[in-house]
Amino acid sequence: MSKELRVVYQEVLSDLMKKDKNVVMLDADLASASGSLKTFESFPNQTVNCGISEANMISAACGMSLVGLKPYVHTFAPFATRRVFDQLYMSGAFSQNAIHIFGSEPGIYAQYNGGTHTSFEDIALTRTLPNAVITSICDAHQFEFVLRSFYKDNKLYYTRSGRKALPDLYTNGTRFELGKWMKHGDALDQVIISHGWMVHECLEACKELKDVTVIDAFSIYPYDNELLMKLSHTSKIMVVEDHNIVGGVGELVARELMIHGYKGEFIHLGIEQQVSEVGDFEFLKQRFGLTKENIISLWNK
Amino acid sequence: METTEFANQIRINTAEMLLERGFGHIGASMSIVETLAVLFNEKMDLTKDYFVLSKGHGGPAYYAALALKGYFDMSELKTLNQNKTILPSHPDRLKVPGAQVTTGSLGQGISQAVGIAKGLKIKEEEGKVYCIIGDGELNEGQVYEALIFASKEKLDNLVIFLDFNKKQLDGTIKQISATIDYKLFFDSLGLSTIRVDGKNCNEIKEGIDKNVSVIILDTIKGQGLPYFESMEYNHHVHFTPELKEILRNEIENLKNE
Repeated sequence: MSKELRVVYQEVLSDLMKKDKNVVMLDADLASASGSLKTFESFPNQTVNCGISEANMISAACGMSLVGLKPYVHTFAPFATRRVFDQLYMSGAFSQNAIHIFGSEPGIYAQYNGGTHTSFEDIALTRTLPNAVITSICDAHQFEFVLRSFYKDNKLYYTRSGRKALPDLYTNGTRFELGKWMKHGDALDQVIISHGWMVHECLEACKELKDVTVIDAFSIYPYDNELLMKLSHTSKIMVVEDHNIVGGVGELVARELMIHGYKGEFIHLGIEQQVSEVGDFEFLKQRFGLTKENIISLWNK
Repeated sequence: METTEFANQIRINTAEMLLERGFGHIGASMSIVETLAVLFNEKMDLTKDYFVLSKGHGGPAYYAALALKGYFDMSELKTLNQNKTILPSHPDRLKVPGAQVTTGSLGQGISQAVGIAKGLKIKEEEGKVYCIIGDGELNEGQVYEALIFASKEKLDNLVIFLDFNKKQLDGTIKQISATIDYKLFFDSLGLSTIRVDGKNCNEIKEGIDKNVSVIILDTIKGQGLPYFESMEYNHHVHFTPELKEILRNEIENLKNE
């Protein structure tokens, strides 16, 4: 049984906080949502609940980084990005202050919280932050890697991830590297690129497709420029994401392919400038076509 | 140097750098001169304390204070807002020697300040944080967020100065935003508050010694330069030849004091 991603967050941070008093965890009145209430109890001097003041949380965390702390902040993806974009930009990237932002429940993960709590554009926004590290998580080991990577690094990190468990795609021994995408196959003539929970959906779809390799583009900035150059000789590429077609990994890939003279086919499955609504995960998958069936259908068209 | 003389030096050098550039945030820079003088000449331990100019457009006066304290050469002041300058309108910690916090987008400086203060407490380090906010800046909701955080976290190592110069950009505070009883407002958030004459170095210094959370500085936008005090729109001024002449004269008067 793979670990819940919110448990990974709580466990990895507890481990870091135990070893280093400078690691601090902040939340905007959603600590129970991120599985962190236990952490707040265990580390009263290294946790701060900022209340429902996300703008202050971001900038204050940046202030904490100025005195040498390593702040990890959490709130839901739209409030961690859309709501506080000037704070991310000015207190964070522009000032070169290093904080880690966990934007949870991105895309259709919002479910019953509905459209008001959904972000289909968090990657579009954060991708524009100078010198930031942007990732989208598809398994527990990957999440752990990114969380620990921030600890050793010196940049603003935005990490988009669901809270519930996803099947383990990787292991304790997997070597992750920022700027290197994970290939699930060797052949590169036909690829489907995805990130987050949709990587699993694409792998399912590929069981019914011939000679298609799935690529997990978890590291959105820095992205895998080298691999994209190789892919410019490919014949068919599809990008699948639980994100707006504007500003996500699809556009990133398309731009790079254009620059490198790609002449093949390009298919993009994402959210076509729509708002979300209340529903369970299965319903929302169908609603927006983020399904294995639709991936196969679009691929074969 | 005596603090009132230090204030005079800040004022003269700020006026000169704005005159040199031909335009600038003269109103906002002038009203914080005395406060900067008290902090940089007397109250701050520059090895431990933090200063945050949340109303970042007061940058020119801050730079004058930094130069006078030796963070960089006085000759740099005339490069204010020139191409490739290290002295932009709003303090950039990556460019201005001595500037600890980047500000300019109103409301974010004070948030960073409460974060610094909380961080110092977490690290059990001594060191105080002094932060100046503007009364126009108080329009920004993020300021309120930072204030309630400061209150809840009991940040007694933080002193917030409200530069109550009664004007913002498009007009007076009364015209543009709400009329607030500031002392009542801060007190109601659980932040101890006093009012001082923001033109009087001694009163400011004594105010800081009272160890309150908020000091409301009663100031005038353009403080210390009589013509610019009386100018209706003095947030950001482009100096015409006439205004340049007036400014030159007022600088002369300050030098003769």
